[in-house]
Amino acid sequence: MAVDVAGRSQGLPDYLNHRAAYSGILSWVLSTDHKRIGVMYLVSQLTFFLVGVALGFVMRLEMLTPGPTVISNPAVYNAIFTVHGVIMIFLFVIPGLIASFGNFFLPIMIGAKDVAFPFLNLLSWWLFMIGAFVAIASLFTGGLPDTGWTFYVPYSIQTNTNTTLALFGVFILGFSSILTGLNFVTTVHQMRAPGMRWGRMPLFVWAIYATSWIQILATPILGITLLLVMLERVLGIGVFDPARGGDPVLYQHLFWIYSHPAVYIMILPAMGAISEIIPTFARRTIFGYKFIAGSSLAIALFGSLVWAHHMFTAGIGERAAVIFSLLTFLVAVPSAIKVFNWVSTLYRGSIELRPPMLFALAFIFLFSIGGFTGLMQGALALDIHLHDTYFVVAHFHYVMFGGTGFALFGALHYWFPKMFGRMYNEKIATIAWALMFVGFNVLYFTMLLMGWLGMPRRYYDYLPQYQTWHVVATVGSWILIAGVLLMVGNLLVALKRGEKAPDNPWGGVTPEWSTTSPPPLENFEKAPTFSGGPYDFPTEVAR
Amino acid sequence: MGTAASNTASHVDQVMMVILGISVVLFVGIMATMVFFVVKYSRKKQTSVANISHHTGLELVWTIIPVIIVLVMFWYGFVGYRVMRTGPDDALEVTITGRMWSWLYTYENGIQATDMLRIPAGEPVKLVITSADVIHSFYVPAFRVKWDAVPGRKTHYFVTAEKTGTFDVLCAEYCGLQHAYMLSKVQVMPKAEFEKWYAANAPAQQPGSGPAQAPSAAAEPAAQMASAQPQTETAPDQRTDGTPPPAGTPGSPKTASSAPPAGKAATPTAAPAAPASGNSAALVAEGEKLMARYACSSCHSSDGSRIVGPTFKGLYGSSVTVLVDGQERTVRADEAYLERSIREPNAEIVKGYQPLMPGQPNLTPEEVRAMIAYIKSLK
Repeated sequence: MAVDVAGRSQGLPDYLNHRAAYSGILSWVLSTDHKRIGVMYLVSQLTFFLVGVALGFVMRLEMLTPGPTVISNPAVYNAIFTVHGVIMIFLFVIPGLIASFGNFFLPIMIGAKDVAFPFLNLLSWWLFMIGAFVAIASLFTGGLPDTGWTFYVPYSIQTNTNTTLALFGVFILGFSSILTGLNFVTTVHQMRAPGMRWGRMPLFVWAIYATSWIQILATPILGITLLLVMLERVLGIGVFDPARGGDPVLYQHLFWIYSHPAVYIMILPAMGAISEIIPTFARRTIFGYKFIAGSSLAIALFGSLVWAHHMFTAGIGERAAVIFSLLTFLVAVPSAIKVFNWVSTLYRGSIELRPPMLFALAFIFLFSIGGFTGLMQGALALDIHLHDTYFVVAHFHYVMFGGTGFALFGALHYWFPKMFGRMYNEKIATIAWALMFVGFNVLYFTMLLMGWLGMPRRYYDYLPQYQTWHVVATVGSWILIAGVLLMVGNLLVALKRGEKAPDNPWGGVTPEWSTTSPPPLENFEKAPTFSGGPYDFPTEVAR
Repeated sequence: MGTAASNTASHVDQVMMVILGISVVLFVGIMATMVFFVVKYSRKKQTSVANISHHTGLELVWTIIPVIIVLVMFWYGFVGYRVMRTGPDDALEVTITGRMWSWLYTYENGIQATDMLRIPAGEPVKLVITSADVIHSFYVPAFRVKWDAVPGRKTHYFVTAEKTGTFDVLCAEYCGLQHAYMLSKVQVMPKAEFEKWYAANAPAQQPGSGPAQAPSAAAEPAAQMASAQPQTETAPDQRTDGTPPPAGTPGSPKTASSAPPAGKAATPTAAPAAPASGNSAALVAEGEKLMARYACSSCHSSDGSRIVGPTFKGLYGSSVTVLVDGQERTVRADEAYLERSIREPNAEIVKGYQPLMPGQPNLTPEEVRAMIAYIKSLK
């Protein structure tokens, strides 16, 4: 893409050194600069991620032997998997790449100074932190919430633990998500720079755009559903509780009407980042731009119509089961189209295997396994066996962690020099990547096998025949966590002591690479104008 | 691969093999292509690139072929699902009730059991599944089938067992504290053997309860009878081999083990608790075992700590504030109170606790007596 940033000056202070109305921590938490907000999301999300990892580590340790291993009370284990789920889903993967990198790069990629509503954007971050605080406070004020992150009724109505507060926290988080979606949709429609036509938008922007629509349309349903559970707990209104004339399966419908599309809230921006990384490191134009952009919209649409595949065993009607199974299989097709286009983008490129690209290739590998195991569960008869076993747990970790997680780490290594103006040690990043990739598969592929053998999820204890597999999986978790810690440590060191990064370390052509690293306050000194496609690379690469 | 013991299992395994086979071929193909490109077009060898923007023909091919493939997968899954959902009207029916944290099996002739579901091999059985409290899921990995137990609903599936033997039953839907311990077994018996067992264990008709008592409704009336009437010879017969003897020897011909306690229980007639024998160490030990096997001790501690329900320590003889239909009332925790609280726990809820406990209407008077003796021992 040809970017004309007329009169670009290297002398402008970058957003990190810009003198704001406040200084110190206030210059961050009261900043309406989309880049600072993006960094705040990134830091908070990664902090929550590490807490979630620690909880996952304890869970795997407990599974090392049958019977009590490191936790003596099943109530504590039940609370740990609940909190692990709530943190990882609501505080890490749902904000995912959209809140962090979306905030930072969406305006830059369309040549805008900021998002459409900067103040609303700051409010979203505050709501996110308040929601997170309330959800975490529920742990320390009353019984440990023990419902699982799905809050299934009637158990969540009956349990006398502190579930109401946890629900309220998630309820607040929903508003953060809705407002961010609203902001981004408006930004894409209203703020594109001259020449930034729809067909010239980088694919990451397309992915953010599709995701924002899901956030706006689906999240209110979650809010209302959780509100009803709270009312049911406090007032006993009887919407879901069969003892009061309610229907527990209704809850599952409402919950998954949001929570299945939420899976696409998590994965679409990740796919967008992969669509940025691959052309940059293959140094050629993306293959099938329109098909990748269109498949994002198709996924957003079809993904909203498959929720009941979480309920095949719940006693839903046979006709509903058949229809939802069919739609579930069809939603796999646009995802497959993306994979085929990414692989084709490698054809006749000039490929460099640096850390972001390694994460992107690992993403394709892990996400494909997640996709194929998804097909297995989409098949009615097979799902009846696999539902609520470790197979499901492994499947969604392949999609959410192997998919979104690895894409987020890829994006982090890709955009780190741009965001912070420093380079990290690529050798250590590669070792960390290798540890994570190996550990991930040892852990979760083993869990796929265990699930096929009938190991149910959310079990504090298990029958002795599963122990060998549990030991393998736990060892995998150690390798994986070693990789995560090495990666985080490497990036933290780079923040302090990394070499100064050039403006365009990878030879990318999308708009963010034509401004300075880190970018100035309003991204470009003068409003840029765009011409040509987003991935127009020269046909010769200088060695 | 785990044992496949039923028609449903062979269908599920077949669907798995079809989808797994296709998936492995596609996955290996995609990964091999990816690695091949990465090696062949490495920057070290290639510095000129071809900016091929798209190829509509290829896009069509890799849209249409996957659509066909997923439709094939869908079809196999659908066929296997139909096998689980269809069966003859006259199939043997067993009602399975999940409750925190055990399974209750009720047969059409009134037999009730908790530790072992017995079914005949080679003929379709209809399993009707429901719950008394929260959602559970009745999962038999050897059948490759789980079906949720939803309160207020009845779900069902048909299964024809093909292998005799004993297989694990697990709860697959998270249901609280003891979810991982909500285990049971299913025993597939040769048909003739099953029929013998089925006939031999049919509960005797209650005098006055009417000949056409519906099997599914048996639990409630039986409970009322057990607590309201002085024990008669018929009460022990309500118990079957399924509600196992305290020692928990599954499969032992039942009546033998339940008859002796029944004899003892009949002796002190109308008085449910005979103080003399009530404190004997054996009875206390038996009560403790029962508390463990009915998972009482998961919610009620014996050391004074609060778990989900009130502690047993010092409970006997204390004053308890309870809510009856929203009205506070103070009662003395005597034997009558303890028995009411075991059988119908939700009638009087101790203030500050939730109505969570599943009622135990099917306990024999002797079992209740042992449990009370155990509680009395915790001073």
